[in-house]
Amino acid sequence: MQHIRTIKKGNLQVLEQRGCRECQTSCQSACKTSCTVGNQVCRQQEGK
Amino acid sequence: MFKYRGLQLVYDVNSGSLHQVDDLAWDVINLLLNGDGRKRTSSLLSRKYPPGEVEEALCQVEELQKERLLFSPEPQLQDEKLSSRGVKALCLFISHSCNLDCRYCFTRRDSRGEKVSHMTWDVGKKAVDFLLQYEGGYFREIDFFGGEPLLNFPLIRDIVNYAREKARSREKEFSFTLTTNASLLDEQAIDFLNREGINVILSLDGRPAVHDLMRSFKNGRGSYKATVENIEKLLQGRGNNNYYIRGTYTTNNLDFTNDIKHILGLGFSSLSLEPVVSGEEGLGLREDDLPVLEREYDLLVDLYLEHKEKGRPFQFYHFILELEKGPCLYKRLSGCGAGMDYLAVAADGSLYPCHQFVGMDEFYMGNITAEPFAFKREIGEKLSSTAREKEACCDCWGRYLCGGGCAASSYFFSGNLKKTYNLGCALQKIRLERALYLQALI
Repeated sequence: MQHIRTIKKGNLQVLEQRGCRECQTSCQSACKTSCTVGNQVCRQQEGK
Repeated sequence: MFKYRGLQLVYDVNSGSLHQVDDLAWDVINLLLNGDGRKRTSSLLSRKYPPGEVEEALCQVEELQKERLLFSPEPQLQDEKLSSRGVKALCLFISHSCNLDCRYCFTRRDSRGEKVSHMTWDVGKKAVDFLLQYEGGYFREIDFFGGEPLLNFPLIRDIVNYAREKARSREKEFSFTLTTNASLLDEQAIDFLNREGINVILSLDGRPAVHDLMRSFKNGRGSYKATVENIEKLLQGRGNNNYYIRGTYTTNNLDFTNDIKHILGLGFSSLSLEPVVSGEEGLGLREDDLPVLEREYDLLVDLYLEHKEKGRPFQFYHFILELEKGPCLYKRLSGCGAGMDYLAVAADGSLYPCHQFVGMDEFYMGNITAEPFAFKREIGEKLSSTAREKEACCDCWGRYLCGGGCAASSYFFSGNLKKTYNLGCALQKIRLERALYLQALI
């Protein structure tokens, strides 16, 4: 019997060395007063 | 690990993976997290569940651990990637003046005393040149900000045209954002913004009474009517794309879901409603407000699901999560990049680590028009504390989703860039739990 359902496989363990800095600066996207990075898409992953 | 509306969810911080578990797996993971080894966990739980099932659950946990999706190790990074290699984004104070007199505006925070109201072409041009000095990477970003940037619309047009032309020869690409109160959007500005594909952040707080109380013209008249009419015109011309309605909630509208309902009723579906961070006494949020706010975000979850079910989904900025295609660890640690990747330029060319520090002497980094040009990078570096350097973040499960919080909030609320803004953190966690729950449902 399955006791655990994986909903999303996170990418933190595989992208750790990337750091290309091409993604949008988070504060420019909407908030201007808070900080959120988990809602952004990695530009190298877009469309894949 | 958290429970929400009957779901038991496990978020693996170091991989960013999300799992839904039954009671047995919940207990297994809980005991393992508390340091109980496999043997003890098995023995303890075999009194509560059939031993065969306990073994099964333990094996499933171990399998996920092997795949680095559960109990995964702290992700490693090359430290040098955390140091800036150049500024790629600027927030330009096109005008420090504003035609509104909003009660929570953070440019009212202190005596800012900007010497110049409107940015000049010389400053704007040098800002573009500054972004192109850095040769690495492909994308460059400019946010037109203020005050109200549309008070100096010709400069926006000139900067966009100049930047696009210069970028072509350098094989770079600029993206632009305009943060505006929308009340000055005329046909000329709308045509330009839509033709050039400029993203817009449009300030609208929600219900007319709520909006007008906070966001009035200088003569005290509310700005709701002009704002909404202009936003409608702007969005019609861009197929309702590339925009965010960005509102602020204060103690005056802790029931902000009603404001979101109102905004949705106007036909706008991409929105962000942010907690106030400054303003007149009495508007600021307090820790005592947290239970009410938590319930309000629950109502927002209901609204979100209701709209989705009816085939009229909307986008709420803080409920978006990209667990599978999200940013890399570098980005998650460096957060907004203020002071490093991202700076603000005041109208007179003064440089600051971000838009919230503009006008503060202790954060002055230099002037973009100075010749020879040099700026104090070390001032910006003071803001660059990563989520791993802040004590409160080290133990927080949300550190790779929020990126360590807003440096300006840390400074203004705790007086220390290395600390965190506790109320902001609490709200962030409330929103993130609900965003994770929505990932499990949708």
